[in-house]
Amino acid sequence: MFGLPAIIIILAVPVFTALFILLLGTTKYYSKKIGYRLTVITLLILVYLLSADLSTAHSTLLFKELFNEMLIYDTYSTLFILLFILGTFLSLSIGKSYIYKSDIFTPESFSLILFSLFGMILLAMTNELLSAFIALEIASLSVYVLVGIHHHSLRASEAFFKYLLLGSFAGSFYLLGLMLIYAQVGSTHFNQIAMFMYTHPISEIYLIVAGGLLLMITIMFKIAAMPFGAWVLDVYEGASLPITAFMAGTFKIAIFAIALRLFIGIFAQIKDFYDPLIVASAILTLVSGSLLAMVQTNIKRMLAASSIVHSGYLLIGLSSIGEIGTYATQSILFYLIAYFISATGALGILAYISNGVEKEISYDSLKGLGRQHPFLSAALTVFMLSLAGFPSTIGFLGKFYIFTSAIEAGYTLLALLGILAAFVSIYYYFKVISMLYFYEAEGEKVVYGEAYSFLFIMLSSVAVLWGGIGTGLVSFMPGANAITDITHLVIESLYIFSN
Amino acid sequence: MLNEVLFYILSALILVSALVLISARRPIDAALSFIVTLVSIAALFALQGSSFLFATQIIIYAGAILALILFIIMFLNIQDKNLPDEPHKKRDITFSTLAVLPFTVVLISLINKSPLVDQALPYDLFGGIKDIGSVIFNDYLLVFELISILLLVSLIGAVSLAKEDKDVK
Repeated sequence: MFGLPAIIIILAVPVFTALFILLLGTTKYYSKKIGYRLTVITLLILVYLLSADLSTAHSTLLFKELFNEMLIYDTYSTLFILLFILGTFLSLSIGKSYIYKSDIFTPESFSLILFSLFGMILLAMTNELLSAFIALEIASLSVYVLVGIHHHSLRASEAFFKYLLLGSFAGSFYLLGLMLIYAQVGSTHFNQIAMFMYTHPISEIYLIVAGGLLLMITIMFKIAAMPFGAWVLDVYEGASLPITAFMAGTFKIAIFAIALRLFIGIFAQIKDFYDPLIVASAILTLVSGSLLAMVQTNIKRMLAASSIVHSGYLLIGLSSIGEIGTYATQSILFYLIAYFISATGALGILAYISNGVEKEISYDSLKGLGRQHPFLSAALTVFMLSLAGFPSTIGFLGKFYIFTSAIEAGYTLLALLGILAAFVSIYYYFKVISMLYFYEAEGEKVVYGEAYSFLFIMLSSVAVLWGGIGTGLVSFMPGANAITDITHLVIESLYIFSN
Repeated sequence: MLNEVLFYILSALILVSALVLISARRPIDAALSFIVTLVSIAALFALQGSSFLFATQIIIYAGAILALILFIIMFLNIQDKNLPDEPHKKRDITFSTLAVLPFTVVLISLINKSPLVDQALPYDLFGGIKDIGSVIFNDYLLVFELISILLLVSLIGAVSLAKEDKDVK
């Protein structure tokens, strides 16, 4: 259903469903089941409307006159919007057992998830700095509240305040940078900023460089790159598990949607200024993230710390976007897809086995799970292998592309450091696997129930394996090479001159 | 000439009151000096002939938001003994200022080098209600509409965080 009507529906449906759930929540007809089903059905409709648009490279400006060329709908945004919707859908579907059993999911939380999705959809489509900021704030503000929605828990409240204060502070850097760029160019549109840089000598664009640096601080804060990423551990731990999965799997990708557009679109010519900083940040992120992940005893905190390391790999990809750039961009897109499904799955399994109770899941509590729940443990093993980048999973291909593109761009040492971090990550990921299989069970077998969540855990673990090995076996089923084809179309669509 | 003198006086006021804002120990002092900052910024707008910006700055910030903050501070009735101990506050402020100082210096020199400095203010001054309205509703209509959703989200968030649970199990 390519075209304007579909994309208007995609923008409008999340907002209207969110408002509907909110209003329904005040009546006696509302129950959690209805709120949940409405949200999930909305997401399914959106996936159905969008999925056809991935097969072509296209690019359209939405309401060119009315919106002043601020929104662009191309294959790039289609891919990211699909990822956001699938990520939200997976977090909610795997988290269904948690959501039903715990009592913190009010009607507001469903509508906030949809509002956050709306913000992310806009973030993927925006072609202009100011609307990007507002979209980013809509998405972040909803996530802040979702972190703190369990307001009887001290940890959640602490995480909420920390995230809100630091996030708003980081957001103010974006505004300062935006002001500098606007002062120089007189416009906030990406293409006009790029045009300005083409037509002016380098001595006249230093303000844009300084402004872009400030924009990058905000982006690095949001993706938890290291000088600015210290909030991640507490916030991911304080949030309830389905929300953590949503943040780690979906929200992080949304930031990359805008970061990549910025880097390919307007910063392509001045990227030489930023490369040393990105490289330094990547090194810091990889090293400190690995160290943090090694010392954690709580699995949720370990996954939070390891998500910092994954940001480090993605920063390697960002730094190797060069003049020829498309290969590095493709590798980042592939890595984002691989990471989103593995992280959502891993945190989703934790939500599934925590049974809706907010408790710490230590390594010890996983002991003997392999014998009690063989399928669940197999799925968790697959996700861990994929996060560690083990061959035959989609995570391996993602890392492989990232590192080869870094070497191609001349960052051999950085790629080596990334490979080293991947080796270190085997330590903390395999610790989980060893707990599953090499220890006797301590407690009684717990029945988790909720076949729906279980089904989606299995489906996503199969997808992780399929993305890694599927292609060679069955030629007519789309696998890893289909993803590569799509990323190629996505990048092609960025260079279409749209009108 | 008079404009320049006024500009420097107002800038000094803004800087000093902003310093007091972050270094004051009692929240009420900080809020009161924040009023000075906001009113001085409004005066800067007035200096440029931006009548609408001047009015909204006074009405929204100095009037509505600051009145609300003062009201909340008084409502909470914070005593001196309730305030947190911040023994290293002065040192922290000094060091964080020093940390961002190099960037500030670079930024100021860049702005001084940029062609912006030579641009005089246009004769027909921007900032009346008509100019702002036409910019918001012609160029930035999308952003304007999105802000309404942002406000809605923050409203929902504030209410859902603050409300009492009716049915706590």
